[in-house]
Amino acid sequence: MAKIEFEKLRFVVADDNAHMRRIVRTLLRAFGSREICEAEDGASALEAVENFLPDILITDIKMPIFDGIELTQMIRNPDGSKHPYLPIIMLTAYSERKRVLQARDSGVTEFLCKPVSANALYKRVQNVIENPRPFIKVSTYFGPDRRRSADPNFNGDERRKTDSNAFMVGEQVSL
Amino acid sequence: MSAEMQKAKDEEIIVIPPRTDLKDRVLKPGSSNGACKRAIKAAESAIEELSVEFDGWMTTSIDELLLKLPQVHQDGLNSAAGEELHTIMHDLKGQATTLGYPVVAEISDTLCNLMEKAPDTSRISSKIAELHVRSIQTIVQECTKNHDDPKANAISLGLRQMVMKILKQEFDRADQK
Repeated sequence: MAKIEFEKLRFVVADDNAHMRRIVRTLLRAFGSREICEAEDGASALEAVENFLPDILITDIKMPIFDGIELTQMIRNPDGSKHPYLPIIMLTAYSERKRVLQARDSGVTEFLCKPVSANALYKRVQNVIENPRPFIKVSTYFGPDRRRSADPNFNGDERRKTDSNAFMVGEQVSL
Repeated sequence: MSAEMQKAKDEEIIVIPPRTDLKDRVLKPGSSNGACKRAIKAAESAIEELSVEFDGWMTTSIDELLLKLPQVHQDGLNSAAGEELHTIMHDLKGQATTLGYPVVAEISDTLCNLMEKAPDTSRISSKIAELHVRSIQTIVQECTKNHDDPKANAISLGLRQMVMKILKQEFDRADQK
C-alpha cells in the first residue's frame, strides 16, 4: 500500500448544509489537501466540477436545484460532460437500500453514510485512488462497474466487450 | 423472454479499462500504514478542535426548527413548511452524531422515517413533529452528550415506539382501502 499525496488532490465538496461542508473540509485539510472547492447546490457543484476540475467529488444526495443523483447522472454523460470518469463519493444520511441502489445506478464510485468519520472518509478516498474500477458503457448506463464480486455460479454468455486489449473480459474487479 | 429482455440481452456492453492517471499522480511508493494512521489521527484532532463550535451549531438548528413549527401547524406536514422542517431534521440526522449528540440523530431519524414512509403524510398530526423538536431541545439543554444519558435514551426510545405504532396503523389503514 502506497502513501497518498493528498496535497496533490483537488476536491469539490457539495452539500447544502454549511456545517457538513465545514466538517468534510476540516477532515480533508487534516489529511493534507489544500485545494477544496465547496458547492451548496447541484448546479454550483456541476459548475465547480467543470471549472475547478477536481480529482474527486464528494456530494450529498439531498440538495436544492438538482440533487446528488441528478448531479452524478449529468457528470456521467460521456457525450456532454467534461469529466465523465470523475470519482464520486456520495456522502448522505440516506442509508436505505433503495437509495444505495439508486446512487449506484446513477454512477457513483463510493457510498458513505453520515455520520462521517475520519477513518471512513479516508478509506473511501483511498479506495477510489488505489482501486480504480473499469467503466461500463451500455445504452442505459455509463459509470463504474457495478459488480462488487464475481458470481462463481454464473454460467451465462459473457456479453461484455472491451474497448482495449489491455483489459481482459474474464478478469473480475470489485465495484 | 420478452422482446425488451431479449434486446437488453443482445446489447453490446463496452468495458473501459480502469483509469490509473490519478493513482499514478498521487500515490507515492512505499508503505503507507504509518502515514494513513497519522492522517486519520490528525483529522480526528481537527474535528475535536472544531467541536467548540458544535453547541452553537446545534442551537442554530433548534432555533430554525422552532421557527418552522407555527407554519407547519398551520399548513400540515405535507406542505412546503413541512418539507423545510424535514430538511433540517434530515441534516441533524446526518451531523448530530459528529456534533456529539447521537441521540438527537436518532430522534431526527425517527421523525424523518415517519415523514418519508407514512402512506399519507397529510394524516400525520403536526403535533408529532413538535414533540420531536421539543425533545431535541430538551436533550440539548438538559442532558449530557453522547449515549450515556438515561433520560435522553428514554425519550428517544419512547418516540421511536410511538412512531412505529403510528406507521403500523397507517400501513394497516392503507392496506384496507
